[in-house]
Amino acid sequence: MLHVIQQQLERNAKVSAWTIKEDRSRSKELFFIQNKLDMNRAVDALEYHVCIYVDFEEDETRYKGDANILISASDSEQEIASKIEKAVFAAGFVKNKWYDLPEDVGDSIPGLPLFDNVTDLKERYDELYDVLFKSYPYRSNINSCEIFATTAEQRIVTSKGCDITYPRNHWMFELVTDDNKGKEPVEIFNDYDLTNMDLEQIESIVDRQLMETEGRSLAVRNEKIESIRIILTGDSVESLLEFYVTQATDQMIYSNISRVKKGERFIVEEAKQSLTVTMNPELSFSIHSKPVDEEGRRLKPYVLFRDGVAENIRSSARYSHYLGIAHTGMVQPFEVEAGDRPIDDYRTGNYLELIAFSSFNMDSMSGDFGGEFRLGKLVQNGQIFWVTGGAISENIFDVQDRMVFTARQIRRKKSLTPEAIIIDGVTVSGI
Amino acid sequence: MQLKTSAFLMRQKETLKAIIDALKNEFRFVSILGTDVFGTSYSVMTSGIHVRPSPATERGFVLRVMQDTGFSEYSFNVVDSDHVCRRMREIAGEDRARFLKTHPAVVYDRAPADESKTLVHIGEAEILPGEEDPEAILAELTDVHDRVKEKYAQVVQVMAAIEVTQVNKMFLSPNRDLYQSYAYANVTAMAAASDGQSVKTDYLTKSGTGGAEWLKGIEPIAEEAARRAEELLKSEKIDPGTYDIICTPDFTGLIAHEAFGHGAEMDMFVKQRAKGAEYFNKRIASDAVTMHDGAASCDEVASYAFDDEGNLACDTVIIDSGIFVQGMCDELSALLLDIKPTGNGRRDSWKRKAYTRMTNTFFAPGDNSLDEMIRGIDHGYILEGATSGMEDPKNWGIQCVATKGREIVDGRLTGRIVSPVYLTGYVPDLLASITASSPDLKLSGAGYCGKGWKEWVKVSTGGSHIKAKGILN
Repeated sequence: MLHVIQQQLERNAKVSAWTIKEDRSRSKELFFIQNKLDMNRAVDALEYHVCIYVDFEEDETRYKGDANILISASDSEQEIASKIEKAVFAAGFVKNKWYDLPEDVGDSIPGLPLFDNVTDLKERYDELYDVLFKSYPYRSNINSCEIFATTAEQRIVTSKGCDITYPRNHWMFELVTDDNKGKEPVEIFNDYDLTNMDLEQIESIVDRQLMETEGRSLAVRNEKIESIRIILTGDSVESLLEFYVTQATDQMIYSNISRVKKGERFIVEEAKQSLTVTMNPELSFSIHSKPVDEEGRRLKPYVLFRDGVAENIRSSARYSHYLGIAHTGMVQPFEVEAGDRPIDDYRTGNYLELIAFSSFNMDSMSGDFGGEFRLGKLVQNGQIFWVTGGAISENIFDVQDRMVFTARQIRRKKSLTPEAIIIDGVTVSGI
Repeated sequence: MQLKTSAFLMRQKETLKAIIDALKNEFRFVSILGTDVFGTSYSVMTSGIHVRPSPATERGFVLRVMQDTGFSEYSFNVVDSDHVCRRMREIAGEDRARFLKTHPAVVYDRAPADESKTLVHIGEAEILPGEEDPEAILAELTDVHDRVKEKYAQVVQVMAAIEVTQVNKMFLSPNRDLYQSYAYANVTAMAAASDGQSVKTDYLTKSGTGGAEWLKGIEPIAEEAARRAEELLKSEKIDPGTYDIICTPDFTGLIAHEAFGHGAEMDMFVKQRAKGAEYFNKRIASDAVTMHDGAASCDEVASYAFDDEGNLACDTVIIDSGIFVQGMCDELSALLLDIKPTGNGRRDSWKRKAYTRMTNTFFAPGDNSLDEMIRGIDHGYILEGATSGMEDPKNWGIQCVATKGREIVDGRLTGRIVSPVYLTGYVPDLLASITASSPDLKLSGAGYCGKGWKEWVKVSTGGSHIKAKGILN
């Protein structure tokens, strides 16, 4: 089918360039209620995401219009032709200033390994079942669990000569844990995205979530605190730090939303914490690692911020051309250099360690962040309380001068980032 | 004008029926859902113009079978009857036997009813999806963008967009032959304003059934989004505390959906994940609260004739004058709970499992005026703009984020604005504190709803202005 799409695009004189992303995946999925298997499923999917570019001129201005279409494996040749024709027509009215797509340079980062997650699930199912449902040293339990073991490949083919196939490893599970033995029954639910069925990691995830659930069961509703040190842990750390990646992205700068300027300091001089961010498409544990972006730009690691100064801009073909900057490629995985002192150094005096949010919000434009927390460990006057139901609301620009990272980086969904972020003087709402 | 039916689904129908015929004697239940969803999203932003498939675009099939050991499904998008039957036998046979070899299964006492039903539902649109004129749409969006950008000096980014989608679905089983085509559209305007130091954004949407004719609603909301974004530059942080609040219809809808709606999804009852199970036929809210959900409850983006499991749409009254009277239910949960499904079995796409999902969820309107509500507040806020929310069905914690709060002191708006505003607290406390609602019912369906962190489906939410008490930060 790829060949059919390619041929039709090449035959169309109005098409100036194109990119095709072939998504080929198969999965096995298991849905548990407590430790009992409910439904089992399998998926075989083949789809093509096509971007069609049309160059045109109007009033002596050159434009590159584009339109995207989705082609399914069961589309007929006539349907493909019709979709392409409509996209070409629409792209002719998309007046984006002209730019060029990247020529393929044929120099890739080393390939990521392909995991046959589908076969692995079937072969090592008993081991997985034991890891999930064995007895853990907590009174909390697994309420339900969903497993999606996917073996997938993506292929990027472009009119500029790129043709790369790479694995899209994904072993995802949703875990719901509950504790019905406290004053009020409680639960915590999370999704975890792994590249393969890493039983050691799964065991550690289950253990941690069961521990947090038991903690939530013991928690009391939080009272308002005027000013306290908070220790952000878990996924909120990645969400907060991703703000810097988004701000250093070309489209945000072109849109005058971001103040990042290449070669200039982005964080304030008074910042307690130096900021060094590296974009790394090779993070082997991240489901977002890949050797090429969707425009056909082969990806390599690069430093985004060094000691708070923007060394590079994360850029696409279009906006790098508009801004007159280097085209670095749209790498997603990132690393943030850790701080100097371990987390325990900050667990002194009064503090609130925020372990799980209902949904941590990070506004990539304004820098506002916050959310309601479902579990926190409050230490006040030497006493420890598990608390729940409070909320924080801050702005990243306002807290830069009282924010530090802890030592030790840990693996998260798309990053290698400090274990925790410490922010002093935060107001926490409560009952 | 009546929508055109899906030639693709019609072309596959005989093959799909042949698959059912081949498998129906091997399994206690067999069904196939076919989907062919298409549409286009047009957006004009200051930074560029985009033409993309509607986010709901999909084309594929789900085959479901049931045997004594439970349910299995196969999702596919290459229609080859021999291959599909072979794969289904592997998944329900070899795979399921492997997974159940030494471990237990959820037991179903009976199969879906599969009552005989033939239905064809064809919706309407003034401009048929797929036949809209991209040149005219992009010209109108560009014109609106340019006028708004020109008028508001601090606005650095404007987005004017329309998304048009036609949903075609076919559900076949030995006794059911259902087909529907319906279309919906939403227009969205977003503006980002900057004073050189901070950036604030706001957005507004309009939605409903139909096609690109919804474009005529873009200009007023684009203008309003820009005005509000500039206004937000003056916003301050709220002093955290408990306040009297008035929620605008969009934020009322967010509360209906996130705070209570998810907890009334009855697959959560099966898993004992919903605190609502303890409140059946009991008071959960004040007398002022009546809440609906249902694809047949109104005419919005989640209005369909049948769900993804072949059950017909309903208008379900969830809360009746403060009493929790009924939940929403998918087919499999209904079997386990021994109740009737309510037409809420929905899938993210043909690739995903069906769950109990909301459709159009709203608090019914009341008869109090907004002015009267404002006059009755000593110190509080009008919460406006639904930024995000997260459910907590087991514990009934609340996280609903409003774009802004407008301060009220001594029964008058002061002009002071706070942003963003996190509404937290405990669901029954919030619902019990609702003392008034206005008659101006409004629904909006620009967004998608997730189950936990995944499984996105198109929904609408709404209500009218309501007065309550909330913990704000």
